[in-house]
Amino acid sequence: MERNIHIDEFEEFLKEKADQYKMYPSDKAWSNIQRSLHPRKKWPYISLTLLLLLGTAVFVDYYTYNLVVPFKKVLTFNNAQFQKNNLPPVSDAALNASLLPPAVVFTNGDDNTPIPPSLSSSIKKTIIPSKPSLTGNTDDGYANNEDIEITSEQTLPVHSNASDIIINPKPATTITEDNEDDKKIKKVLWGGETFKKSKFEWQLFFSPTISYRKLTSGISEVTDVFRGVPYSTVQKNTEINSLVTHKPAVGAEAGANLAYKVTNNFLLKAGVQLNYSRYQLRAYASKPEQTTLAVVSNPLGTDSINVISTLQNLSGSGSSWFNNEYFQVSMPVGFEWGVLGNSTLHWNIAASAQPVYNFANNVYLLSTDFKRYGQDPSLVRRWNINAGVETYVSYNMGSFKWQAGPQLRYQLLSSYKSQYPVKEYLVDFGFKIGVTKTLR
Amino acid sequence: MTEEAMLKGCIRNQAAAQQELYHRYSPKMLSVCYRYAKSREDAEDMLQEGFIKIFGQLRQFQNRGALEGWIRKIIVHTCINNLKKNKKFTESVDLIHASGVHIREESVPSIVQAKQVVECIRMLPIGYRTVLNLYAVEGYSHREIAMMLDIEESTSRSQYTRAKAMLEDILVKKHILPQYTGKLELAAVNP
Repeated sequence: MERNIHIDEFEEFLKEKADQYKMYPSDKAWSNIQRSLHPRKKWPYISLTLLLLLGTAVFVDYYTYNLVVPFKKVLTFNNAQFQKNNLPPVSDAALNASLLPPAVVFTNGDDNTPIPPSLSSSIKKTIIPSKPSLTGNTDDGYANNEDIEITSEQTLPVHSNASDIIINPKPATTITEDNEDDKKIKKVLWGGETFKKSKFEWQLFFSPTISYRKLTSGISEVTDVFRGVPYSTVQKNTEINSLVTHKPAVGAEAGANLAYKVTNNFLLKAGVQLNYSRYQLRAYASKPEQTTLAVVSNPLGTDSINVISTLQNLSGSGSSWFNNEYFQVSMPVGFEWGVLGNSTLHWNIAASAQPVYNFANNVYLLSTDFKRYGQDPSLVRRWNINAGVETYVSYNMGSFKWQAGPQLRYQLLSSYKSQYPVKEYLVDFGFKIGVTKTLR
Repeated sequence: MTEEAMLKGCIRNQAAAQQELYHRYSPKMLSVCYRYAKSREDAEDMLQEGFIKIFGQLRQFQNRGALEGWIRKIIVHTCINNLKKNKKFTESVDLIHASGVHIREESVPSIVQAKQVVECIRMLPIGYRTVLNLYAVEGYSHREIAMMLDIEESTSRSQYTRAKAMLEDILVKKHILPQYTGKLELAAVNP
C-alpha cells in the first residue's frame, strides 16, 4: 500500500478521530470466533446417533425374533435311529418348520382337510411338503426359541421328505421338564448350554434437558460478606434474583448403567453419565474493566479477587445473552421400582444419587457491586453431588426394553465454593429415552 | 504476554493466546468495521470473519512490519469483500451538495468526540463512505482503491471529492465543525 502523499489537515483530522474511536465487541463475537477455531465436542450428537443406530439394531433383532413360530409345538421324529445320527438335518427341518408363515395349515395326512389347532393334539399332522422348501442351517435365531422341543418317540421315514415330519403340540408336562436326552439335543441344536436369563442388565440413555438454577443469597448476607469492599447501594432486603436477568437453556445428558435385578420389580443400578447444563444471563458488553469478587477467606473476614470484566449486568448498550455452562461427568447410583404393568408395558419410578465432577465450565460470577460479571474458574466447585428422580414407561421388546419418561436432576451443593457468598443450585428437567438389554 | 509469545501461541492454535490477540486489537478493528458496515451487527459479523482469517493466515505474517497494520489490512479487505457482495458503489448522492465548503485550520476543535465524527462518516452514502474511509483514513491511493473496488481511478477521485464535501457539510451542520471564516485550500486534497 502506498500512502497517499496529498494529505491535508482535514484527512488528518478524520484519521485521528477515526483511530481514537474504539468499540467493544460483544462476547458473542469472540464465542463465535472461538467456536470456529476450536469446534466443540460433538458427544451429545454422537450419543444420539449411537442410540438411533442401536434402536435400529433392536428393531431388526425384534423382527428376526418374531419370525420364529409363535406357538408351542413338538417336532416328533419318527425314526429314532435318524435322531441319533442325523441331528443337524433334524435341525434343518426344525428350522424351516419354525419359519413357516402363520398361514401354514395343519392337515390330516390322508385327505388334506384343515384341522383346527384345538384338535391337533390328538391327530397326526403333517406339513404340506410343497411349501416351504426344506433348506437352511442350524445357526440362527431358532436357538432362542424355548418353545420348540424335539422328541423321538415314533419311527417313521427320515427327514428328506418334509411330509415325514410330524408336528405335535407339546404336552403341558414337557414344557418345564427336560429329560437328559432333551438337554443333550438342545445343547447340540443350540450350540451351547441352554439359555438362562441373567440378573444383570445394561442400560443406555439420552436425555435432552432444560437447565436452570436457583440463587439463594440475600443481599444482607452478601453485603455483610462484602463489608470493607465497595458494594452497590441496593436495598438490603432486595432479592438477588431481582438483580439479574437469567433464563433457562437447553442441555443434555447421556450415559450407561449396569443394573442388578434384585426382584422382578426392583433393580439396583450404577453407571457413568455425562451432563451438559447451562442457563443464560443477560449482560451488556463493555470495555474491559477490573472488577472485584469478594470471598470469605476465613470465618472472621473477607478477601477479594480482582478479575477483568467485559460484561455489565444492570445497564449498558446492546445487551446479549451469555451462557453459564457446565460440563460434568457423574456416577449415578440408585434404584428402579416397577410400580404397575405387565410383561410388555410397565410404569416405573427411579431415583439416584450422582457424585459429579465438573471437568469444564464457562461461568460468569456476579461482582461485589452487582454491576458486572467476571470469570474466575477457581471459585467453581469441582466436585458436587446431584440427586435425580424420574418416572418412565417401559416397553418390552424381547431381550430389549425401551423406556421414556420425565426426570428431574437437582444439584445438592452450590456450584460455587463456599467462599463465594452467592449460592447457585442447578436444576435440570429432562425427558429421558433409554434402552435396556438383559445380559446373558 | 509479549507479542512474540502471543503470536507463537496463536500459530499453535492456543486459545489463550488467540483471546489475548483478539482483546488487544478487536476494539480498534471493530471501529474500522463499523465505519464500513450498515449496522453494529454487520460490523461484528465482519470482525468475526476478519479475525478468523487473521488466525488462519498468521503464519504468513513473519514479523514484517507492524502487526496492527497487517491485521487492519485484513480487516479492511474483509469489509470491502463484504460490501462488494452486497452493495454497488455507484449510488447516487441525494444529500445537498456542499459546494464551496472550506475549513479554517483553527476551526477544528480539539474536543470533538471521535464517536461523533465516526457517526457523521456513517451518514454518507455507502459508496462515498467507502472511498473516503479508504483514502482519508486508511491511506490507500486512488489507484489501489480503484483496484479494490473494481472501479475506475477517476471514479474514485470524484467519489472522494463529493464525499469529502458532503462530510464537511454534515460536520458543520452538526456543529462539530464551526462555520468557516477563512479558507483552507481544498484543492490540495486532490491528488
